[in-house]
Amino acid sequence: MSDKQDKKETKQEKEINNLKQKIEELENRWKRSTADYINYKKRAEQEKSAIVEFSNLVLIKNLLPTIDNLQLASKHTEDVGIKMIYNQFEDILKNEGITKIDAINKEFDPNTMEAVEKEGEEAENRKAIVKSIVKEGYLLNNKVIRPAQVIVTYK
Amino acid sequence: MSKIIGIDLGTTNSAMAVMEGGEAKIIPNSEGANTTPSIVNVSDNTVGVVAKRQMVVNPKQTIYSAKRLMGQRISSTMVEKTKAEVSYNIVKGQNDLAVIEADGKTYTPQEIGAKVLAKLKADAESFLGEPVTEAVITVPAYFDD
Repeated sequence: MSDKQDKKETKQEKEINNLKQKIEELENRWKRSTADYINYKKRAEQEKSAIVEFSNLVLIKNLLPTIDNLQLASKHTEDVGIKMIYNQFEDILKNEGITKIDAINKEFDPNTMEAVEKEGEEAENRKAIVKSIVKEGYLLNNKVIRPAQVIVTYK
Repeated sequence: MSKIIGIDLGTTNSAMAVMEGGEAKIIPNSEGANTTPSIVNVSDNTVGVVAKRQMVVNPKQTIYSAKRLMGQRISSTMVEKTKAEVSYNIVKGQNDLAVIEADGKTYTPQEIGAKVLAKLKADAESFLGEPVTEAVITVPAYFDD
């Protein structure tokens, strides 16, 4: 075979190899994109379910400071009207499936509580127990929407 | 080929993102938040907001702002300043570098950073539904030799 033919074939082989590489690269990209699309679809469906389940969450979270103030006011006044309004808000929360975090005298649990103050020092045989609640915490379908802010003591 | 995530390992808070359709998408952590406090409780190995919530109860075992100590000698101005601000013990480690002492053990700032990164990695894998083996991590402008 002549040199010219050899060179032509080598050039052709090179081109074929380049094209094969390109095909492999494009195939990998296509597989990657398909996997990405499947994951994206799965995530979009999960987010859609979460929106349905937690649709009122933003509004409720925004209302909680107002409910906190009403609770404080109802503790420090004999005004029946204030107490009634606070109780109404409590009923609304209950109807939305929101429950208060039961913290008093319970062992401190950072998954549902935030310690803002402690009384006494920790010791090996003593546990951190919630003495009082500074701000109520709330759960919605067992998900913490706001941790309870608590004062702990050691017992 | 697994996805590569981008991580901002911050002094106070960390965040992570992934490229999706040509745009950076923030990956929420397991608590549903877009940022994770760079805080570690070394006694029970909790990281993030759960560690932050019990800082008051376990001040000596809750490590935060560890990034400030990375690569710093115990005698450096940064370490002196940090010692005055944090509730945990900072002591001299190997090569005069600052290390954290808690519960009778010592931890390098890199070890604390690694615990934060481990949580971010786990949360990213849970969100993406696949293992994460590569990441790009930010480096602060003040990091020198």
